[in-house]
Amino acid sequence: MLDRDYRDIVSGLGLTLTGSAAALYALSEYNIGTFSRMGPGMMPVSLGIILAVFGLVIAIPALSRRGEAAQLKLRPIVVMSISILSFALMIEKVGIVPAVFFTTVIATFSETQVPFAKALMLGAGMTLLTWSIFILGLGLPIASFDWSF
Amino acid sequence: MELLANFALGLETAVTPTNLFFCFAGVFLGTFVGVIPGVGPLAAISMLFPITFYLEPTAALIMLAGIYYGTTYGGSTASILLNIPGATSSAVTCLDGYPMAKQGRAGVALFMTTIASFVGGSFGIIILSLFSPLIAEYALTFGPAEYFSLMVLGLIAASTIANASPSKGLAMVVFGMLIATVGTDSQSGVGRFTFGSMSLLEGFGISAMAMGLFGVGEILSSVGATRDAKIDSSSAKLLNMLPTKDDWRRSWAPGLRGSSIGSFIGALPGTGPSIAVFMAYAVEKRISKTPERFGTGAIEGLVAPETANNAADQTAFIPTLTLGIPGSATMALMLGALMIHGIQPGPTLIVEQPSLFWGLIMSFWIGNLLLLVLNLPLIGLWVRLLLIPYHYLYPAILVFLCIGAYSVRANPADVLIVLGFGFVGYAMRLADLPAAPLLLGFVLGPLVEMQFRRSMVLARGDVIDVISRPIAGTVLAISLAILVWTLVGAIVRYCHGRKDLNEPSTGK
Repeated sequence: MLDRDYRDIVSGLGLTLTGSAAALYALSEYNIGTFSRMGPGMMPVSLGIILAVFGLVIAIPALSRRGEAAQLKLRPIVVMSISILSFALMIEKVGIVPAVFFTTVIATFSETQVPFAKALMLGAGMTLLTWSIFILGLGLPIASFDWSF
Repeated sequence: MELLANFALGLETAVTPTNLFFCFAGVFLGTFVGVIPGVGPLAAISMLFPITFYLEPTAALIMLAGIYYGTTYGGSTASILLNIPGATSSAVTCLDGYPMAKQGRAGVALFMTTIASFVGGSFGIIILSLFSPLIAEYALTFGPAEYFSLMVLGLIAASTIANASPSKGLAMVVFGMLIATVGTDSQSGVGRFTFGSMSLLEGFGISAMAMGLFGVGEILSSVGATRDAKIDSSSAKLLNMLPTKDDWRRSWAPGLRGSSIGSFIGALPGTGPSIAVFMAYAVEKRISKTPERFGTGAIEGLVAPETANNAADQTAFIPTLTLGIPGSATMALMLGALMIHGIQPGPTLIVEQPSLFWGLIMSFWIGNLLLLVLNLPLIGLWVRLLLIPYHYLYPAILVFLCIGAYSVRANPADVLIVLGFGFVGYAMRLADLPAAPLLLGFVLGPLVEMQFRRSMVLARGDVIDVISRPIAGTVLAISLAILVWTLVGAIVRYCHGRKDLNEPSTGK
């Protein structure tokens, strides 16, 4: 237990910051207009201000309340990001077959429970499955293999 | 008689071999993904709906509807066998479904769930077909001011009524609307919050956003978490699926009450299935002669919420299809999918595209029928799916999310947007901020802005003119009443919280 609900304080203030930043940016960049002829800035400015107010509504009561600490799991975040990034980089460069295989195998490292041999088998299985669904079945215009080097 | 003619027209559209096949595929895939514990209907629909982009609109919608029912049904399977609700609406199913499974009556529970889903769904479809044309006809007289006020009511109701923390729900609706302003402004052509990026001019796609928030965000928060829930091997055998005579006798009246409650609540803005199931359960417990059986595996406590859930799922389509205003995040996702296929739901849809409208309604019914046919023999398969460890499932889900995100526009940058929204979704889970209102705000935001601008132009900038219109004014007054009521509730709770804090905490 923490002496204050820091989770709500941080998230509330984060929303207030986001809202004010959006409102100020829209105020300086876009025309507000009048009520009868609203410009592109009217909506972002008003939404930004409302969001900032709600952020405070979330944060202020949390100041006088006990809270739980939030647990951040770093390993899955890093591994999943690498896995998704590798898909985005590979899909057009080398084709769907290698992209799916590597994405699957990399993703298994988020948890320590998968033995490497089984990860490779899962990768192969997913490759076959996605290839038969998306290329064979639905006929998506994605290259299966595209080794251009 | 006109209704029968409409049904015939709908059946003609829905019962072509291709459409039947896609309905079947949707139901099957939906159940498959929905069964995976922790993957709720929103995550499942956002994962699967890129598959429908390559189909012609009618087939795509039919498949989409199949996916929708399949995920709901799959969610109740996970609730009964594992006590892990995939969505708030199946949380009530756990109350009596899981005790039944522990008593070795999992087969009976799953069987009755399937029947209850079909009965509730069919009831909801009848209500949907009776009331949609009436509401659509009435809505033809609505102007921008009426649409604007109905959308405001929908947003406020959806973010406050069913949420534990209304201020967080409202903040997320506004945040979603703010995210929706990114891209080209439809009225002036100015690019907002694009920071010179060409790809941001189109704005964020609803599919990328939903896949990130509900798919990647869900995986990130559930990977590495301890999962101690295990299926009892005895319940997985499903030796006895057939309910006893006593089960049937106890079930029919709760089923009818559940259907009625679900149909009514489902059509109201912002309430939807999650409120309907709680109400149906509470009503059954209240009128039961043996309320002490509830929570220990009473079949009434399973049948009533399941019928209510499925009836509400159907009638939730009434505002979505006739007004174009979704009442829940799931409906917002369905609306987004319809709009991607070039269909703008609204009062003119029934008149202008009757074969599409009635075809969709009939395919809802066929989807429910297929669920019945598919799931009674396949229950064993779904149970076996639950036995696959999660660390083999999540890489597979991740790959499907990546392919889905990429295939929408064949743009690798969309995959990165999904990752970005995945981070947002995970951060929101850590901060206990609800993601569903954000999606609703995102879908309705641009519509709210457009209708507000139009109504202000018509009223020459006079706000009083909008408020004094009878329908718009009443609806806005109801919205305000909900806001005030919520605010008072929050202040009361805040004062209670302060009192608790001032008491010495070491006293125990």
